[in-house]
Amino acid sequence: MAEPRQEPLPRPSLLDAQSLTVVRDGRDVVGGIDMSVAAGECVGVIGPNGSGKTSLLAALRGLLLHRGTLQLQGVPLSSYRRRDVARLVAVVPQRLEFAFPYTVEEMVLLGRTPFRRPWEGFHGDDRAAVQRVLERLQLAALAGERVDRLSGGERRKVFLARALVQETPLVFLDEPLAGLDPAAKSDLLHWIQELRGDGRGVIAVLHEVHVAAQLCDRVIGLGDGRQQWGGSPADVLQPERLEALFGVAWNEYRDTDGRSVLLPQRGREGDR
Amino acid sequence: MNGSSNQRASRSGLPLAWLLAIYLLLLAIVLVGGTALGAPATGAELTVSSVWASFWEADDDGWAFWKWYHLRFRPLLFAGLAGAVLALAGTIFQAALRNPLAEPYILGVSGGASVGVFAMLTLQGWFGFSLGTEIFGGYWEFGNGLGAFAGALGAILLLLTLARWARLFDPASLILCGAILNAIFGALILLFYSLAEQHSVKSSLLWLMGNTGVEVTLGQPAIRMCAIALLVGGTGFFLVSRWFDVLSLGEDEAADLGIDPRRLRIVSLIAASLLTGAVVAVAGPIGFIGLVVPHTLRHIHGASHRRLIPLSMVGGAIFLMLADLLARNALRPALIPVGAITALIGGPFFLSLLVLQRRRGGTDG
Repeated sequence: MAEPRQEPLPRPSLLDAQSLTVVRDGRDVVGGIDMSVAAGECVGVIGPNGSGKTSLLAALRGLLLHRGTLQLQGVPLSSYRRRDVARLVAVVPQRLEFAFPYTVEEMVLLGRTPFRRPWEGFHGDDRAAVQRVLERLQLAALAGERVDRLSGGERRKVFLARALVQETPLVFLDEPLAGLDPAAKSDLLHWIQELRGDGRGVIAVLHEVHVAAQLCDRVIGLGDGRQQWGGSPADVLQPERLEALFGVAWNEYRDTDGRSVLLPQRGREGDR
Repeated sequence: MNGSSNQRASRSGLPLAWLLAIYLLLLAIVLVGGTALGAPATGAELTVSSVWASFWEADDDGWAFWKWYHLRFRPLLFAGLAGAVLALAGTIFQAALRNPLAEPYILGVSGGASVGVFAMLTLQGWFGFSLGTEIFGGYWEFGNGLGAFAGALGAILLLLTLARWARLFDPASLILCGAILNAIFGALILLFYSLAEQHSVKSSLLWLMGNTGVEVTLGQPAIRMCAIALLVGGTGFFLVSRWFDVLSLGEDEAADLGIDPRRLRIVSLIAASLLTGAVVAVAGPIGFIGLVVPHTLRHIHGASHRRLIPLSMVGGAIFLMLADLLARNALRPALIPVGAITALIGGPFFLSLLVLQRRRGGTDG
């Protein structure tokens, strides 16, 4: 008889991808992806424009086809139905435009869609969940406001609120800070940290390398149609690697707490 | 913009049941009030008081009531049903295509249905048969219905194929596509028109401009067919109204919230096109109701389809009934086709929306 295992069990993996290739319109967009996300972890995806970051995010939730291994909570993604995926993964999209003038409350309430048959209508506890999240994100005062009349930062928070209401173990963020002013950025960063505090697994496509360094447990770099590297920020976010990835030289600075901050140099090597 | 408290009051103030009750009351007032107006087709004077008086006259035999019922009430009721169906179809088109400018007439679905009807009439004329049947105690032009359904279905499938093929899902391009389809369908109708020797086609000019009057309702079971279409379509769409909120956010977001956007879009567009066909078969192509009504109501009561779908149906009914009354009374005794009235209202409305949308860059409202 085997001895009962003594060491603590590893945290259950929410998402596992091994030698994953993303396929769009019959073509391989990005390949060689190896990543995993556990509860409370944040994985950053960085890379130049067109490197397939958003496509990867789409494939990880089944919107694009893939080859290789991809499992959500230990079960192949392909064996889930759409509705089941929506109970596992919530997405904060990059898009900030709307065809129709929904209110904040209506928009956030839609996060309960995966839990209700359409003819059921939303219940009191759905509305209560929305109310809780709106209060937590300090959006309650905007509940009746039209989403299309909010600022960029507020709109992102509305989508974040919708993702929270969806109560999924995984949250995907597609360039959550793009186009926001500094105050909105720092506010949103705070809430992304809170997501991890709740025990959710987070995958964030990011443009800002220094944000990835602050926020993420692991970072993967995409370029030339492949995952170039992956690992903890301290290991992988090195000026040489970033230069190879982005084709521009990087400088390392120290902030007041002594943490490393990486910023691209002004011109390309050849310009000088 | 407006004060936010003001916004909130107008959006979540009254529950749907109350709003519906108010709109239904309005509908009843228009229906009853409207039947007291309006030139009867026969030219005989007919007022509520004369109908009322006829009840007490022994020798009348209900003739005045018959006239009031058949010449006034049924046509107006039919206008209401047709308006409700068209506004419902417009609401669905806008949500499914994520396009506040979409509408079955503008996108060529009504035009396709008209071509179907004309093709059927021409075929029937050439081969000397008529696809009609006794139904609900009236003679139902079965062939018209069949042609309209086939034409509407063909038009929406053609539009979707074109849009998919050329990736034309942005609002303005899709509208452009619809405009071209409309031009082609117009040419096809002219072709059938010139080919036809049959009286039924030659006399259909009034139909072609859109008509909900006694000319199309007398002796026809059209009202009941339309009512059934409305009941089935309205109930079905209302039950899954939440899905249209999700669908109108876009394909990826809809999928992320757990619905299959492509299937829902195709199925709902086909259903809305068939509903449009049901109206076109009887009343001809009447445009812009599906644009004006959901748009206005969305502006007043918010975008949630749980509200928008039922309110649009009642609102569409009121709108077309009023347009019909206007058509019959504005230039009395001349009769304006109701389609001309809705186009005169809807055309400028559409253009102003287009201008506003271009200037503001996307969002409706």
